Amino acid sequence: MREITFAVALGEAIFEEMEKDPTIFTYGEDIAKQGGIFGVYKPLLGKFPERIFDTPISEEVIYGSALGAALAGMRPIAEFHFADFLFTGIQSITLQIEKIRYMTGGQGKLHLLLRGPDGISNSAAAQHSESIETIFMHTPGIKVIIPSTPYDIKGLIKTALREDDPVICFEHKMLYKIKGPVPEEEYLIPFGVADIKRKGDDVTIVSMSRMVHESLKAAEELEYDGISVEVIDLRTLVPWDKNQVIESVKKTNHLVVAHETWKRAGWGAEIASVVQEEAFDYLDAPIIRVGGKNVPMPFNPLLQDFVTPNYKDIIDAVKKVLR
Amino acid sequence: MAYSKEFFLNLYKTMVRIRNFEIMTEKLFLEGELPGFIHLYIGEEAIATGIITNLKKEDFITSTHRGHGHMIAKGADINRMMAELYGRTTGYCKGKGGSMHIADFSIGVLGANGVVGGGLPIAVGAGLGIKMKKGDQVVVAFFGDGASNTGAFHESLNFASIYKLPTIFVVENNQFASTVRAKDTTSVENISDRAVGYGIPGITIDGNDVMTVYETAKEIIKRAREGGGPSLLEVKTYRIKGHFVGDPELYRDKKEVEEFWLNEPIKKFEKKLLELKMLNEIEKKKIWEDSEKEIKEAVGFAKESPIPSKEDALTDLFINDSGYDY
Amino acid sequence: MYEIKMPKFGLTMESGFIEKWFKKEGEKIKDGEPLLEVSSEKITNEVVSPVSGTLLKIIGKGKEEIKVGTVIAIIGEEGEKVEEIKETPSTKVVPPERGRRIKASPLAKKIAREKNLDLSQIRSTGPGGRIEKKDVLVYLSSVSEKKAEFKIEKLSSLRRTIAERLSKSFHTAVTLTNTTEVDFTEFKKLMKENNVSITSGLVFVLSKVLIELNKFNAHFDSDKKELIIYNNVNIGIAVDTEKGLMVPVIRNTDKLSLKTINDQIKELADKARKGIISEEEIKGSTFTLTNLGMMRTEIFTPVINPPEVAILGIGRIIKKPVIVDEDKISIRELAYLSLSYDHRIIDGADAAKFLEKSAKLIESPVLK
Repeated sequence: MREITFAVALGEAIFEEMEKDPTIFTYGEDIAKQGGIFGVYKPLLGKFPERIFDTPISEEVIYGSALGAALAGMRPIAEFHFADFLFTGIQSITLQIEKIRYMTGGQGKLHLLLRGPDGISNSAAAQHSESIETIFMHTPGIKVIIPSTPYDIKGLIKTALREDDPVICFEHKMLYKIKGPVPEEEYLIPFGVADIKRKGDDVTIVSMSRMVHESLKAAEELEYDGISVEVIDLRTLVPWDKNQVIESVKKTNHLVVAHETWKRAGWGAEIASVVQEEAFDYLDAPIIRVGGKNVPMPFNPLLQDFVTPNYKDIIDAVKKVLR
Repeated sequence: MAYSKEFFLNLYKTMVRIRNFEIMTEKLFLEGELPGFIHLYIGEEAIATGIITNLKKEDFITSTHRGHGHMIAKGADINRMMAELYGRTTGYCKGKGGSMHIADFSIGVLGANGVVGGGLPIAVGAGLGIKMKKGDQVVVAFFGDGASNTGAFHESLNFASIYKLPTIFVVENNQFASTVRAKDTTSVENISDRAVGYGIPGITIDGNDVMTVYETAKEIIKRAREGGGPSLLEVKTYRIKGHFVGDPELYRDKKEVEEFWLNEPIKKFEKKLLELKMLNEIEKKKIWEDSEKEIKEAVGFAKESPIPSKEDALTDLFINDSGYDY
Repeated sequence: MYEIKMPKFGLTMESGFIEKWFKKEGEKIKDGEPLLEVSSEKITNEVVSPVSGTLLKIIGKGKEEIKVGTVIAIIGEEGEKVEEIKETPSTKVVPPERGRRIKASPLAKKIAREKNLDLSQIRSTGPGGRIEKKDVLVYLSSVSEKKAEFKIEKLSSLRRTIAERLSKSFHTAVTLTNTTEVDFTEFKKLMKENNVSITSGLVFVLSKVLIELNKFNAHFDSDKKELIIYNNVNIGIAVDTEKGLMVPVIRNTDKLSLKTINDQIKELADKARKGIISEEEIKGSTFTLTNLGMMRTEIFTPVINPPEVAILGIGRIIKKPVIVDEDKISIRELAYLSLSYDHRIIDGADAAKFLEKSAKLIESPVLK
């Protein structure tokens, strides 16, 4: 099977859907002229130049207009430059997009997609490095997808562009370059279906995005210690595949949840809480979460490394849980 | 331009309908019949009527927390509106939105909005959508003097301007943003002056004269529909009632209110029509009576409508909610 | 109908254990016939039925401690209906000890619940003493293994007491043992002539030694650091019974004749073996004698019966060639005396003296 990068897979998904659906258009800051991050949009610039354009730095209206455009019958993709900046236009998402359908008693189809990069990179520091997906799980009204591989992002984005509900997609900056197998034929990945990236018997790790790769790395090392690790990639946070996780915990009796975002009140806490509530009798040890330290992202690369979790932290957590 | 009697009476009836709806709403609220908050449009009827009469069904509007007038002018069903105020399942929002979020997408009302300035980006987006579709609809964004100071206002005007979107910005300057006077919190006396900053035309008119409003809006809407881009229309009026029903109005003098009441739009138009012999007293009486009857029936309809069940709280969030944890 | 209640043996008994019932429900029983066996901290005793009739109902069952006075059986006319009397619950309601909560993971608890296991029996290896699944599984497999290789016998109350007391003695007293070989030839002849046991003779001899070396006829109170030296000699004789070791006590042996001593020993040993000895009869010794001579033991290190300060053991009497009159060989009957003593009170020299005096009296016995 051919191997392509995460970015190319993303571009393919958008391009293929735009070919099919003339109502799809995409806009955001700094996306058109340079063809998007890692040239994601280059094929679009060639074929649909009028359906991709740059916007001023006006987050509130970028996201709010996605809502208006959807209500007017289009299917917009509004790109956010950095997930951190969702906060500058947060009103449009949490007060409008998430609420309009419910408040109006189910009127309208809000087919819109917000997408963009999140997570750490090369010392971009506190306002350009954060992962904030938890907020969009906590506030009801938008679906959250977080792919970790080229295969996953293509399938998920395609599904998102056929959903009639609002979707937000977080793509970890450091994943755009990674390569992975992606079939030529069309496929869709439904929301709410997790992917077992690695089968195991002793402990379950639930993770998403970059931390999936860290979890797999940890699993490889733990194998030498005779520990068999099952790595579950949720792929979508809202909705999330509760059944798959519980089934796995029933088998392994041990759970670790790993995410890059802050540990405290991160989505890992929700997963842990639901599992202990619904699979209490299958737990042979407490559930442990791995997450970032509860501070803004520091600038110095060593400090960034320290506050950001990696495979070593996952190994420690697994060992603690299996003690 | 010459207008037919039918045309005039249409405008008049619409304003009367809005007025009676609001009077009844106020009465019901003070009797404790309605939950939540009510923000009355009394005294501003000429604006909604004058502007929206220019619009087609397919055109969009976004409204504010003070949105009954816009809804009615756009052709909403009074029964369903009243039912929504009562929180019943037959209401426009199945009882889940209430006065502040009342909407009817099927007639282009993209919702009243409880966030000041919240409707502006949506209106811009609708305009963007129309442009991408190469459609010929327009969008009218209604907002108040208070909203003209929000970030959303500035982002929206800039955005609509650069893409020449068919979105028209109508600032209903009723001189009060909640308890605060516009003149104390706005950096310009005429908000339309801000249009210059965004490279779009701006104009200020008397919002209590329905014909002025109608004719000005007609121009602006035509321009937008023909691809001329957005404009900023400031309609000056006065918020005769408090910010919400029950507002103790400690921030102004009763005399001030009484003074402006003398200039209220319906009486003003009525006077004109009577002079032009487009309306006589009998017709006037009938119009008012019919309108009151319609409103009363709406109240009856609402009161007999079913109350939503608990399960109703868990619907209408997503179209496809498989796997979602309620 | 007659209610059989948990009896009280001795002043201090507060509760006891039912060791076994001699009759089943529905069986007839006669006045004076043994009905059941009851044990308390110190002794095990037969309980005879005070009436004749049919054993209608047995209430006291199981291994729980039952308070004295609790109804444990009903005897009446055959066919009589007995009201439903609830199983006498164990009187000791053990409240959950604060701070001794059993920690177990939810999974471990689930498995234990399903397999009907008592979590308090399971050894934990988890953090903070938490019982984990693997601990439960280990317990399960060991239990099933155990069933195959051996049976579990719960200690009787008597055994438990013995174990506790001896352990205490072993760990508090500084016990040493001195031995000496003694010529029993004449002694044995004399005892035979008088128709008394070797043990009786030894008691007679020891009484004299204990009067003289009265430090050995004492109790040591280690808390008060006091040595209570008794004026009378009460010698306890270690008796091996079916149930375990018992030590009936001959009182005032210094004032008794050899014959009386012999009679008493016989009587008490008999009672002990039959299981009908009273609490009074097994307490109050100032010194203990233990005779393993009937078995193949020569030298041994008896453990002191606390709070006594010494104990004398005697081993097997064996015929041995011995040098007499400087250079002649004679066949004599010899046995070792093993004296264990508490070095906190008694020094090696004292012990040697004791053995010397005892040996002298044995080798040149006098019956007065």
